[in-house]
Amino acid sequence: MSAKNSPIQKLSLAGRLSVMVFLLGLLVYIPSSIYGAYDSLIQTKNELTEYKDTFEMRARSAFEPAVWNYDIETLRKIINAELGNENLKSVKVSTDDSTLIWITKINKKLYDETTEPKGIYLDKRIFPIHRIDEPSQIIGYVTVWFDNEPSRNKFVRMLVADALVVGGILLVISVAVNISSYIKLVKPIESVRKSMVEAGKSALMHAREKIEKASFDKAFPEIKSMAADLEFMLDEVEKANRKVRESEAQFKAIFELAGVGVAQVDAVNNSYIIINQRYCDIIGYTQEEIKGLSFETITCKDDVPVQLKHTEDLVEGKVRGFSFEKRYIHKDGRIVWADLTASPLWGPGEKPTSYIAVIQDITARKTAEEKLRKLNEELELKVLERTQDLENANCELEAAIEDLKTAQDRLIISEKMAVLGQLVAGIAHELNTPLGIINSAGGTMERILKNEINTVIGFRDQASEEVFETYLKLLRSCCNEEKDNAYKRNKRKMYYNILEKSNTEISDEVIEKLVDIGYDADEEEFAELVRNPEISEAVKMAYSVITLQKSAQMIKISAEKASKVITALKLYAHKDTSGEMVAHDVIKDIELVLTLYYNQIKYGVEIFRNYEEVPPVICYPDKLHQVWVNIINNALQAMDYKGRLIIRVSKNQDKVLVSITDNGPGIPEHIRHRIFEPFFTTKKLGEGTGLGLDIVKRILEEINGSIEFESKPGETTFKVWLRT
Amino acid sequence: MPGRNAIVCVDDDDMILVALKQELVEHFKGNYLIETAISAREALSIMDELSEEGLRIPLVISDWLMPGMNGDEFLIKVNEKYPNTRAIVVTGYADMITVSKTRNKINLRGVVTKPWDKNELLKKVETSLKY
Repeated sequence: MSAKNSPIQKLSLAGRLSVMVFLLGLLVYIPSSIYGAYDSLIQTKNELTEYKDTFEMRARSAFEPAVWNYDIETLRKIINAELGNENLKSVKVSTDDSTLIWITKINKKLYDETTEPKGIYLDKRIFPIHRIDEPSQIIGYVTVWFDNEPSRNKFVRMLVADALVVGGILLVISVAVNISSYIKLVKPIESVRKSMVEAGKSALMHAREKIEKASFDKAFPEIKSMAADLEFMLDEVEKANRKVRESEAQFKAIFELAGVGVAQVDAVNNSYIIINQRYCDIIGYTQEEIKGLSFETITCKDDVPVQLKHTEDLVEGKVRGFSFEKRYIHKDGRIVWADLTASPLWGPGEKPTSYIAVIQDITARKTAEEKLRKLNEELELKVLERTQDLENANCELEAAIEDLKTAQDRLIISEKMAVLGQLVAGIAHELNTPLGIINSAGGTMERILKNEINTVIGFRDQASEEVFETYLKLLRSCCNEEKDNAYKRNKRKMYYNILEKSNTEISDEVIEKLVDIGYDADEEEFAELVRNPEISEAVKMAYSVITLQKSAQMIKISAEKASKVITALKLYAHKDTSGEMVAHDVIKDIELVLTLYYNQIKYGVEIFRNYEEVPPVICYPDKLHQVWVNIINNALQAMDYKGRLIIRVSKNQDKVLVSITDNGPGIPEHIRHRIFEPFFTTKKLGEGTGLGLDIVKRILEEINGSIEFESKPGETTFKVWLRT
Repeated sequence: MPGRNAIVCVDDDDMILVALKQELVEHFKGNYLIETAISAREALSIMDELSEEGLRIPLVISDWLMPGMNGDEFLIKVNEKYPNTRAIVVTGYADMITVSKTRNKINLRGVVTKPWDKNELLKKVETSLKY
């Protein structure tokens, strides 16, 4: 601009202010000085005119005599005196034909001159000298050169002095203004300006330092407040800056770390302005590479027109943003599917600038979708196939369920056999005892029959009448019931006493056999008996026969015992094949189980039977045993085969209630809810299958029965309800 | 009768006792008095009675598992009271005795399993009485 070159523009503010003050002074001074000058000019002029006029009048009268008389000396005197006035330069007095006197003042000295003085300010006047008596007669002429210069000089000097004084004053004022405005205005403003410059340069610290260092004490209040405002503003700016920095950092972090690609795209030429790392990652270019590209070059050919159309609509303001799924061409040439969302950065009605593009890599989803679509197609085919398969499987499943039922039945049988396995040792013993007796008795019988049968048969013929009588008596007496041991011992004592008294010798064997066969004789009878020494034979014979008899009896009883156990076993292990429920005597069933357990019960367990008369229950008998086996077995184990087992059987409305109570330690609180679970067991490995109570429950469910229990230390009762 | 020897048999099964007695009476004829008891308690009282009468009891033949007082308990008491009395155990569960902690507290000379073999039983009885 032209103003830049104007000298005024180059001046500082203080300079300009001074100049302005100076010019303002001049502006005020000039009219007044013009007026003053004009006034003094008029005055000077008037003084001069008056002097000239008075000089003419004076000269007319003073020169008349001298001219008339040619008195040159007087003339000289008068002229010299007149020439004392500075306004007079030269005076010439002449007559018509000659010059009487011509005195000219040059540099304040008077010279007789004959030439006209020279000078620009000379005013030449000529006036005649009239004869006093004859005013119409001219006797001479006076030529006067007035000099206007002194008056002019005086005027000019006055003007100059005036101007100098005023100029000086104005200058001082200007300087004062300059200094004061420098201190009060320029310097503070400069400080403010510098701090603003620093602020402008974002060097807020420096700006603050500058404004704090600068002293505003002498500054104008407006500037002080301006500085304060600036300081406040700097604070605010700093605060704002901090916020901006923070949000900028946040934005930057968000922008850079965003899980989506974000870019600012020029709406007009479709080039990228800024772009985040994720965007770059998605399409495989570096940020620098992308900035040189437009989206068309990295977009799949088919999608370019679509996006151009969208962008066009955006630029024309038809839409406020768009979103569509497009394909980018990755730097390595593969296709990247992305979900693009664009939002314009210009407002409605504004000129289009740029828009924000957000992209999300959806390749995986697209691939998955594609796969899914294919899978779907395959699936539909497969569904058809599978439906067929399923129908087939269904048939198989039905068969499997049938198998499972069988398996469950088998499981119940297995459990039954497992229990049996545990019982076998006891049962073996239970069989061994009677077998042992049978064996022993059989051996005894065999021996007697082998060694003594002939003696026995021949005894009738060989023995005397008396001995044979004794023999028969002994046999008869033994048909009575077996005598107990204490009785026998007493008898033996008695017999020995009698023998001692009567001093009779008889063998211990005979006494022993006599006692053992339970011969019941009083003292007299015994004394009578032993008088005959042959009696020993009769006793031995009788003993053999009675032993035979006893052995046969033992064999019979033992065989019955064994048979009972075998029957129980057979009943227990029996597998019902009819599959129908039948009416069954529950007490018999319980007794059967007690028989199996007899061997384990007899040493330490007292059994209290409290049986009411009850109707038969409807059940599968071969399964019902297992209910009692499991409950009784658990009870026995719980009380370690020592204690009391109470078995009650009673009728309860239309049902039969069997309750089995043991006085064991009870079922711990924390496992009570689990005891019916399959495979739950508290027993050691090999002692229990963990299936017992589960099977009990199943068996009872099958026959519409139910089971519950109550337990506390010293009293655990299992109650079983059965349908009649 | 005083000065005679007696053998005491204990079993909770009366038929076992009868069979045992038959075997022993047959074997020893009248050389040993054979007493039987249906429980350990009875056996102890019989032993007391016999020893009061001046009989010696060199051997008891006992069952191991019995209601009331068990074989081990019984034989410990016998050993305390009659240290010279030896013992033979007749049991269906022979293995229970071998692991028994009471083994060294009783004067055990043999174990016979049920059902017993007559010869084995008598041999063990003879051995116990001799040595």
